[in-house]
Amino acid sequence: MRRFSKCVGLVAFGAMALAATEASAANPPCTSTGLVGTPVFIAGSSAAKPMLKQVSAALAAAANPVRLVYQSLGSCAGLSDMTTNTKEPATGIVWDGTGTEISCDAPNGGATVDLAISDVFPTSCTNITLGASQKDFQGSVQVFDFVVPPSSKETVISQEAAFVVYGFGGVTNVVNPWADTAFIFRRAATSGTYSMTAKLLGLDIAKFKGTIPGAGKSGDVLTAVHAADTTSPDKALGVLSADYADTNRGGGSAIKVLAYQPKGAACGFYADSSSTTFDKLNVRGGSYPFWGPLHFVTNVDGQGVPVNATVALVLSYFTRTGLDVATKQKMIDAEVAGYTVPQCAMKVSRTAEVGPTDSAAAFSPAEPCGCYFESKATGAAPKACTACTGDTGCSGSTPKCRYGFCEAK
Amino acid sequence: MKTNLKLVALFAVALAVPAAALVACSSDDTAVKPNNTVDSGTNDTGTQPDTGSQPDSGADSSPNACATGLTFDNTRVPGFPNSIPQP
Repeated sequence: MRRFSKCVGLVAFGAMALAATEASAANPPCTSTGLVGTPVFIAGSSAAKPMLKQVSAALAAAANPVRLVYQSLGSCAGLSDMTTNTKEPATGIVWDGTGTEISCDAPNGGATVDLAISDVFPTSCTNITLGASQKDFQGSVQVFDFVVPPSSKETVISQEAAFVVYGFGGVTNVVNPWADTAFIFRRAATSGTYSMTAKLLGLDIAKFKGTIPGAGKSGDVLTAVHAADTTSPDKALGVLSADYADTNRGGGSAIKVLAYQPKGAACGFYADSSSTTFDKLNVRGGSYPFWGPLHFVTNVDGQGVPVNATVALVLSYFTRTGLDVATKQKMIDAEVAGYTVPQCAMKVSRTAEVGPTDSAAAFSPAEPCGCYFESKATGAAPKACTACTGDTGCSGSTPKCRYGFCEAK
Repeated sequence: MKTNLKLVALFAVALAVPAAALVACSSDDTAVKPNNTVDSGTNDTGTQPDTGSQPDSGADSSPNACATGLTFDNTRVPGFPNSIPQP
């Protein structure tokens, strides 16, 4: 009997030791993943993940390599960590040289967030106020879409319809076919997508209805909307950032994007010139309002310069500050591959969050890249664009050669 | 009687020509609310849908805001347009 007890004890100890070993070996520490580059912890928007994956490769290849360590929390949660100086314990993600995602463990007690990334203006999040020594830097444009299952008969949704659908959740006041709360999907409360949708619709975020699938992240909404295709394709509705929606217009987890008709408008538009293109023509020209610049918040000195030199380097990539032409082009490539729109391809901008009626104003980028953007996003530049190898190949209203195409300046 | 019929026909033509000229003159929509129900031109400057009954046969001066758009039928929305319920 005593021998049996000893055996049980040894087995139990062995199991505990094995479990402990497995726990500690589950992920490498984020600060020593074996990959090149100085780690920079960037936390927030889950929608920004595809774009960050692309940019991570550009930063890892920099003369002074940087390794982005991404913690997917939701925009407002990342901003909260940043503004309250709260350490973030969530599992991180890094990408190796082939773009393969590797999970990593934050330091004990959590990681100090170097940079918060948000889909929305900080003021769009509840109880978020930037400190006096914090600054919001803006990057490429994140586009959002109302999405339905691929077999849905719907092609467009109006502000008025979406307001009622998300304001009542398919109960009491109904806009058919979105009449079932279980299939009206929304993101978690810390999501920037959620906050921006509320702003777009002019709907008090506290009165937002619907079902939060899984953990309420972008991937969960994608999965839920797609899964409804087999049972209730007309009932399901969700909102996704374009980087998730565009990569899933076909394939194994396909969804369908809807055109959006603003308040009081006679018609709506897709973000792109059609449901099958990726030119973001209606975003860039101001006909489609559901977008906003990505926001990067960090601590700065009295001159507004990031106090962390490595963070400053990362931000210079997003804002194109002090980069050579080749590096700027790499960043455009990365942002396009992440299904965002570089500011240089925009013809409108906004200084405040979208509302039920749009507030975007005409915008002329200092170094326009519309032709190059479309050549990368769609595979071919528009016919109106002229290819060039230098300014001498350009004339008239497009005298400047940028990234292989004649532009206005 | 034959003479009378000819006179009637001439009179009808005389009325029809100015009327046709009037329609032609209104072919370009430049007002905020263009006056056509069906816009057969490629361009339209207005931001509101056409509410009139005359077809548009002319080319307008700027792109039609809804030429490539899709329209959601807002009559599906309870209370549209003035009494949409507030949650």
